[in-house]
Amino acid sequence: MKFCVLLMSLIFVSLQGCGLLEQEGGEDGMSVEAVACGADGECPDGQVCRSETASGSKVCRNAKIGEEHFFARVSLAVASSDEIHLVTVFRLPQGVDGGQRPAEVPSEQFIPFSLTAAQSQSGLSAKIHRVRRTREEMVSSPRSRWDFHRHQVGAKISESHRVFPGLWYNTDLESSGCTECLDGEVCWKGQCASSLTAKFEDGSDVACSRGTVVGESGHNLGVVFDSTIEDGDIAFLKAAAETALKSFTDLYALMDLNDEKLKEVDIDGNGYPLLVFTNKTSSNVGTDVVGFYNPADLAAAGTSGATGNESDILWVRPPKDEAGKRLAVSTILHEYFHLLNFSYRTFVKGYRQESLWLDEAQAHLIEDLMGYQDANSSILESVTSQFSDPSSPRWPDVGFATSTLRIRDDSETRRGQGYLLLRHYIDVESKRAGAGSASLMEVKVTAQELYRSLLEDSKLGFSHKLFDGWDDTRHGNFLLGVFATQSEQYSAVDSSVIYLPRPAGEKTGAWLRGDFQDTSGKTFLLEGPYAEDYSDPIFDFEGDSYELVDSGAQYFLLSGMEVGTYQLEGKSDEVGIALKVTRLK
Amino acid sequence: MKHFVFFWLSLGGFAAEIRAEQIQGGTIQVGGTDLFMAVSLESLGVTTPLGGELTKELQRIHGAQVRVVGQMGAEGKFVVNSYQIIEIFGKKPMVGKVSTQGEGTVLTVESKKGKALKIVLKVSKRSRLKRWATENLKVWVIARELPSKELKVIRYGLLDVLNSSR
Repeated sequence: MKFCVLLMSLIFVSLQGCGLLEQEGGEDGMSVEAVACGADGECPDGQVCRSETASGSKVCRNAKIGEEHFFARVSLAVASSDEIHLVTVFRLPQGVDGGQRPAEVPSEQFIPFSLTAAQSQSGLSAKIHRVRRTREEMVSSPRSRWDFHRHQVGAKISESHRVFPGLWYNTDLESSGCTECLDGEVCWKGQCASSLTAKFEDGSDVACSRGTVVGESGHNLGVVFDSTIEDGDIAFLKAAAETALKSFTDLYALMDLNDEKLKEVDIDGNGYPLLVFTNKTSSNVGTDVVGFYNPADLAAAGTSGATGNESDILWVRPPKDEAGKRLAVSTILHEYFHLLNFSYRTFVKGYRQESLWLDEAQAHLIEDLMGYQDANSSILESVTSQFSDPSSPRWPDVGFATSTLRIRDDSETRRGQGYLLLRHYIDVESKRAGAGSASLMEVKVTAQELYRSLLEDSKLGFSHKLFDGWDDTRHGNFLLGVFATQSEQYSAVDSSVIYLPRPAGEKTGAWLRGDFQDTSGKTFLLEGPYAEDYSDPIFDFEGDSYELVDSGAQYFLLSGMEVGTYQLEGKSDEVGIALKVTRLK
Repeated sequence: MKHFVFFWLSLGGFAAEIRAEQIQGGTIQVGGTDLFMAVSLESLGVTTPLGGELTKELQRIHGAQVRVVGQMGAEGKFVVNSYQIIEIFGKKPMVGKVSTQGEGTVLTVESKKGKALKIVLKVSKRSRLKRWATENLKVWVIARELPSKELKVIRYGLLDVLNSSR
């Protein structure tokens, strides 16, 4: 019996491999030799049968947009009803008709596709219709996941919405001119000052005072406080600034920014970024914004859109307690990454501003790597949401590489997807180099290579060199890693695609399932990304009923299936859709 | 004479309107942040920032080729009064409001002569288009005609701001 199961598994793996190879060949389009055909079904996946020759004979060629074709035909062998399989349908960002990959996809586009299944019997494919189980039956079934779904009503955190505007590019600023400032002063516009008036993003004044410069390991951070902050809170806030500063050395190391590069990105030449603790709000910056960074602060006065601050400023809300302090510290690191990324790419290298989705993904990864993964609670909760509603879109409701993040309230889910993509890259590469845990010490070299590669490359988003080898197979492995990590029952999954384990006692590493504690100490149950639960692929797959968000992915979890071999078929009028089948258990 | 004066004034007013409005073509580029979206039109390497209420719709079609009608406003922005989508993803989309008629999903588009044309779409029962149809939202749709003359949706997106649930 064991031999039989093993044999079935091998057949399945072989078939799956063939399916992927066929699909990749079809997308290539350059090396595929013309193959004579009589009908679309005779062509490899991703191709159609058309008259393309002078003689009028039909050959297989790559499908174009608007031509219905099979994007996948895969055999699924089930040797035991205990098995659990995962079907993942996804689409990497692509140009027209599978052309050059863009940095991101236009915001939120939907692509219909169909999925059907049939069972092979004596060499014939036969559709078998069974009575579909009701929702109630599914709930009572031990093989259903419905009973695990508990929506965390009211538990969602109203977390920070970090602002990262960026339209202005100007490096024509003079160096600070400050001589050594006294205690209680910061260098502002070339002069030592204990108080200053900075311009908020809407042009209004923010009167700041009680300036100070905190130092750690040769790095400094200027700090000022707006007039709403009481003197009694200054020591607490200064301590928060000092805590953030302790991580600057690691941040610079990850971004491979040495002293020379740091001087180049220090726009006002004062030797440090300026942290402004403020309670100020505007129509764009509400009370829910924990912190932000505004490139308009960096532009020379007189430049269109410039605030006139001419300084590298990190705007942060003053935390009220220890939990808030942790969120504020992680926000300082998040925003400082944005500031450095923008300044280095645009001022030093002359590149364009990074694609929003990738910029945010990198900033959230910084929080994780610096040990503030608990501050990523809202993005992790969003990607593991099980019920779709306007305030909590699920994994399949959004695409992760879109030109805009906030279409409605789905910004957090998109951020979560982008962050998980980068964390998976680091974890898989670090594992190859022998890493055993997700801690910064173990993954630092890989993480540094990732950040360096993205910083030094003039391209944007998904067109970066880093993603040159990121094909359907690699993306399918990432999606599998997201689904199968931290689930003990999915024991059949290749461990190389699973995220690195989180080190005990450290707030770092991918978190997708199980209890998760945020910065305020609240505990959430994360349940992995949403999947459709099916037990009878022949009946449950609904043909023309599906839609994929471009650059997104959809999971189908198959469990409790009858023993046999199933033929899964995916069809679409859009090119570039991929399908991956994996036995989880 | 009165008629002549009236005609002259009307013509003059119309001409002034023509002078004020400009037509520009190019590709929509979306940048900035999710809170501070910046929408611009890129043509032959020249980027023109766009302004006006319609930028809320235009920010949803990054990369689309469009023709915009409007005028230069304050702060160097081209204020869009109307626009036409030429191409999304290499195809000319239909643009209109989606609605429900009986069991069917219908897209109402404006013809070149300004008449409302109703087009029946073939969409799945779980399609977001069906849900948006209940709210009569503005969408773009790329579709192909089936032998049955039905229009099968290949790709689509929302142009309106969505207020209710997905």
